[in-house]
Amino acid sequence: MANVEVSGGAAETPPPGASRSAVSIVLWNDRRKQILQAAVGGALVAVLKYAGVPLPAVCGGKGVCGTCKISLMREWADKLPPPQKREQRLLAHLKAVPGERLSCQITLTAELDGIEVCAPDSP
Amino acid sequence: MTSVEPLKQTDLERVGAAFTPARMFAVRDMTRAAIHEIAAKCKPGMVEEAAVEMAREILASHGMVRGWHDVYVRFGTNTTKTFGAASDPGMVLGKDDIFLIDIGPVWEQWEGDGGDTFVTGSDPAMARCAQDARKLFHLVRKKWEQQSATGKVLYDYATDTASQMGWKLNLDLSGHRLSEFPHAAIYDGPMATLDFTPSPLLWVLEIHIRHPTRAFGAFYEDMLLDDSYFA
Repeated sequence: MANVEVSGGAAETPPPGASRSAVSIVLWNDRRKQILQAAVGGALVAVLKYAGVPLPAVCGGKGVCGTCKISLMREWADKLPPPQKREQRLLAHLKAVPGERLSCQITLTAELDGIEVCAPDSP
Repeated sequence: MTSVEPLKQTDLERVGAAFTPARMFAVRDMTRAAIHEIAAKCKPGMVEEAAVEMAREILASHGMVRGWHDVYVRFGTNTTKTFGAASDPGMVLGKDDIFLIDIGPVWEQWEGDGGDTFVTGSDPAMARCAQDARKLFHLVRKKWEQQSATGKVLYDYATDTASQMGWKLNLDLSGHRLSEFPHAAIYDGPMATLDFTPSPLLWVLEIHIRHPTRAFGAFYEDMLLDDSYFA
């Protein structure tokens, strides 16, 4: 299970106890901003699901079902490694717009500290 | 102590507005055809990872880019792996070997699911294992068709019959719903726990057997349908 701490306010500092190997995730969900803390190395989908974002992710994070698709702020989308062929093909099939990615294919790294994510409008 | 309500058939067999038998049969046909197309391209000397990529290409070429589960082509000892388990990497298909295919493609809004097992040589135990997975599938299916058996009874019967045939049944793969995508929104549990007779066209019957001492197994799955759909 993802190591996640959720704070509902706009606090920009990690909660007490958060380690250096933790990253912050700024989640926009239904016009509400949340700051999540998660361990480096985990998949973004696990953090979002744990925080209550309704992402079915029915394939279990294998990158084949497309039900964990989320939007990233452009600056953050550009920081990610480009999608691999499988993800690229599925995103095209799903008619994804620029900035949309499969959250199961995003591994949290220190470089992604502060990443801004928009939850889908509907599951 | 709180009592647990039994799972109700009406709840577990719900379908959505997009569900039509014609579409479910269409995606079933596409799934079965894809399995055989993939199998025909699996040749001795091929590495399993290449076969999985080849399978994905074939599915995509038929409009099945999306899946409700991953694509599995497993070679040799990897045929003992249960659903979702990672294969041992770098497995090469031998000249006297066994391999299985398990795909769950989504075509437009509808889910397919199918599996089958093939052999490359003349190992009699491997050939019998592949044949018995199919045979057991049909024995269990006929019990459903002729006796209106419940999901529980079907898998108890499958376990006993597999044992009599000399195999071990893997109950991690014990049937599930199928519907318009995603069926998990209706019911994500196994058919083997049902206290009612599953209805046709809504469920998938899975049979995964393993050799009791050697490291190989066989898999067969298809929709739960009567004899007329298996001509």
